[in-house]
Amino acid sequence: MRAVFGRVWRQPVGRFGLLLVVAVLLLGVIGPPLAPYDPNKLNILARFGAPSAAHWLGTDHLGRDLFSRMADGGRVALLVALSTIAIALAVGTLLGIAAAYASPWGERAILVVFDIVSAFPTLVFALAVVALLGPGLDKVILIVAITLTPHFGRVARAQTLSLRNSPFLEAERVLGAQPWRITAHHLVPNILGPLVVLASMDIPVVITIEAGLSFLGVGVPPPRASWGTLLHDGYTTLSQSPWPVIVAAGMLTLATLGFTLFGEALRDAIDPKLRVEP
Amino acid sequence: MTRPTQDTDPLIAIRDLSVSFTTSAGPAEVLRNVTLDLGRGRIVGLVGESGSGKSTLASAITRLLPANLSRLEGAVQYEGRNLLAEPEAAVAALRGSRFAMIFQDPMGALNPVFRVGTQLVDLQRAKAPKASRRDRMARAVAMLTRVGIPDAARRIRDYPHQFSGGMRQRIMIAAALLCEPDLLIADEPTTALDPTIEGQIVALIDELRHGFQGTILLISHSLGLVSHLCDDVAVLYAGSLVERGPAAAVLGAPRHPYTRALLACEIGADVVRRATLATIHGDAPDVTRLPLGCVFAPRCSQAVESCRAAAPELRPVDGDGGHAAACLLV
Amino acid sequence: MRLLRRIGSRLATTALVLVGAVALVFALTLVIPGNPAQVLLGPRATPEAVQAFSQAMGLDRPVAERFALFLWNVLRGDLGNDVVSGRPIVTMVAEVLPYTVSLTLSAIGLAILFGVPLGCYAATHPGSLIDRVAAAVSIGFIAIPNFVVAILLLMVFSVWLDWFPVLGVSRSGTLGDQLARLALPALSLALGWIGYIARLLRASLLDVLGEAHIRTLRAYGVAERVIVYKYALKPAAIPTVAVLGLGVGRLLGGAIFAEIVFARPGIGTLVYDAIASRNYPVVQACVLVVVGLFTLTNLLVDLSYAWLDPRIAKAEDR
Repeated sequence: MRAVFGRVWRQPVGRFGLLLVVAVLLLGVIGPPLAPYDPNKLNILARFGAPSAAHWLGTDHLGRDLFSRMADGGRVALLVALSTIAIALAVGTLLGIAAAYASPWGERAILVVFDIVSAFPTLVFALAVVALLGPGLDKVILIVAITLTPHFGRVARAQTLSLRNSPFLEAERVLGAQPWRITAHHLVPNILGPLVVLASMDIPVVITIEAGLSFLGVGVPPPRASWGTLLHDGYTTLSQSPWPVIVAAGMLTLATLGFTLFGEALRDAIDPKLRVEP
Repeated sequence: MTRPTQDTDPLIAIRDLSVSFTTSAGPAEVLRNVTLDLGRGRIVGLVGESGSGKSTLASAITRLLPANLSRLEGAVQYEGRNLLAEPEAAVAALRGSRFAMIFQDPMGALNPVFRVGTQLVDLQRAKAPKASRRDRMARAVAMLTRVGIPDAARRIRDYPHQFSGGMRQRIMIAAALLCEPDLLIADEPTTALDPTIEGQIVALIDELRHGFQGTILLISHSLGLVSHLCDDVAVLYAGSLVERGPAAAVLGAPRHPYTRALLACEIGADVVRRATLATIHGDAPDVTRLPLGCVFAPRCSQAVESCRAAAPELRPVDGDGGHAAACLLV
Repeated sequence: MRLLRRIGSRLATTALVLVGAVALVFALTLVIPGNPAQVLLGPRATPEAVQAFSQAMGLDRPVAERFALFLWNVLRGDLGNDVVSGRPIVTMVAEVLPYTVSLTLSAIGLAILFGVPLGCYAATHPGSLIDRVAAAVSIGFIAIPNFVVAILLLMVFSVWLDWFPVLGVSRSGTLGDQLARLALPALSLALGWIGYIARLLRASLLDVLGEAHIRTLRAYGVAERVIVYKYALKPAAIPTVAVLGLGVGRLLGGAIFAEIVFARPGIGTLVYDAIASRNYPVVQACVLVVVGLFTLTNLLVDLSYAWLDPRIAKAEDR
């Protein structure tokens, strides 16, 4: 673990990415408590303010402090990213391993389900669900987790298939270990590598999806702040003040860039052979 | 079957060729002061173990050396010019028109996503740039038939993966012959083939050599192959030329201890079952740290003190018959 | 023969996936809390309309029968009628689809037009300044969400610099005007992909250029340009196309954003407006169309491998 981080640190690109990631994490975790204002507090008199001593990043069209909203948005982004990936990783890995060990028909069924879910671009799927069931943070998490699951599932299956006949697994079986134990203690740690890399590279993807959904109004419902909502509000009032857009676009850029660079450096540090993945 | 002897000037005269590469372990001297003549119309065999520098020698002649080249000294004389001193464009113009190559691995030598015909047509472009595509295709079909590919007119439209390894090597031989080169370099042409297929290819080469006017440089680690096909032989050890001369002389009466040891290692058809196989004691040297004296001295059973002091020059063994060995004991 | 069988099985799988997708969309309507007809028709529907709709939809019939009816309608191309205008939804979608398609195709075209030469240059001049700058910039555009790029482009080129007309589609209909309005949206989609294609192609080309058959070509004096652009590019295109094919979904999603940001008509705007007005049948229809397009594109990409790589087509022959 330490060796991996050491390798990431040594690459300038990785270092830059790691710094950005840490910055975003700090923002999301300690930003909201430290923020000077309540992110949802309206102050119409102060609307469209440029950055100043009172409002470090300016204010939006309803006078809300942009810095506080940005910090809150960061928290939302991280929350969504981490929970969806955790769910998708867990469910996907289980299904993937199951597919690898299942009968040919069982495997085929699981793969077809993966295909069907993959046939829906995440955005479109989210639009359909939200149109029916209304927006909400929990729905966003669920939708994104579902669409991300095949991702992990296929990789988990491929890894399991290639490891299934490994001598060390055979040895465990011969020694009489329970199948469950074999899976948990021996198989999972060994397929974890590519999955961890995939997870880290999916973080910016999920941030993007959440922001996109919020931008379209089908993600995090107002008045809760999300970078996507900030961006949308700023976009509609672009002629009056560029600051909301600059803040939101800037944060999204830094966060996605940072996590992507970090993810790539991590991948190179763990296993450079995994290149070619999008 | 008589071939012209060495009284005409050689096609290629290699003089003091030295090649080094940069590696992570330091500079590797892959070839050291190699001096060799490739006679006109002769088949010259270049033998040596893996890593002896055989392929590098071929690459040096055609100037297709890799990027980590650190040293290229000496001369490769062809038609009065030193190819090592010529500009890249001039040497590039010779490839495919005067020089042709056949490589070791026929499976990878052809591009898998293009038809064989397309590739054979493009490979002829250096030789016949003005010829029409149709003419070149016709020549290719004829040559494929000549090298023993049945139903060539139909099969030329196939892709490489539709041919077996032996067939692909025949295609490569056809490509080489289509260039009508002055020099054909065959780098381990049969090493990657099954023994039965190897026999077929050797028979093909045997048959084709009569119609072929140019010089062939046959690189191999198989002494049997070389003795069967070659007029002249050169023996390379760790980048140094240790013996050269007419095949019959070098292989029939070797003078250098390494050549003798190599021949002793060959398992001939008439060998009696022994308890142990003959080997050469020791390991091939590390080319990043070569000894000062004779390259073979550390493993030579006849080495004396003076052998380790300075690398011996090639000395003639039989007057001016062309047989020479780089050994103090000659 | 084998090729036909392979295509056939691929088509069968695709059909199965499509049916499954339709089923999934249908299943969504089953989880609606409350009266499904009420929700589907939206808050503006009169009680009589709701009643008529319930009967037409057969909401009292068993699920399997409703699904069969639904599937049958979809296959016939009947996606229902719009509650507001009464027009067949299929017509509404068909009207705006060309805009989305033209936007997506333009983006792909731009991406290939700039991405391929860039990738080739980077592969033939590795480590050069252009190579390194391109690598840095392309990661940027791939990572940053395309709607962020779109808005930034809008801000800089339309609002501040006023180089391009701001929003909407051409009313005057001249080709120049249409292209000008297409430029920024297509560019916002294409930027990420230019970098993506360039990086993929660079990696694949470098791999291919190290292979034995390239060495053969060099040994025969074939011109470097022919080697790179004919003999290396074609094998290198295969893994590039493979990964690109996986990203088509993202491209379609991105097109939706681009339409909304630049206020162009298209499936994206259609679905966005429908959500705002709680017009679920339109949303549902758009989802089905997009899923259908996406699946078809994937199928085409898959089949294109057989053309690009003859080994796949004839894999079982020898």
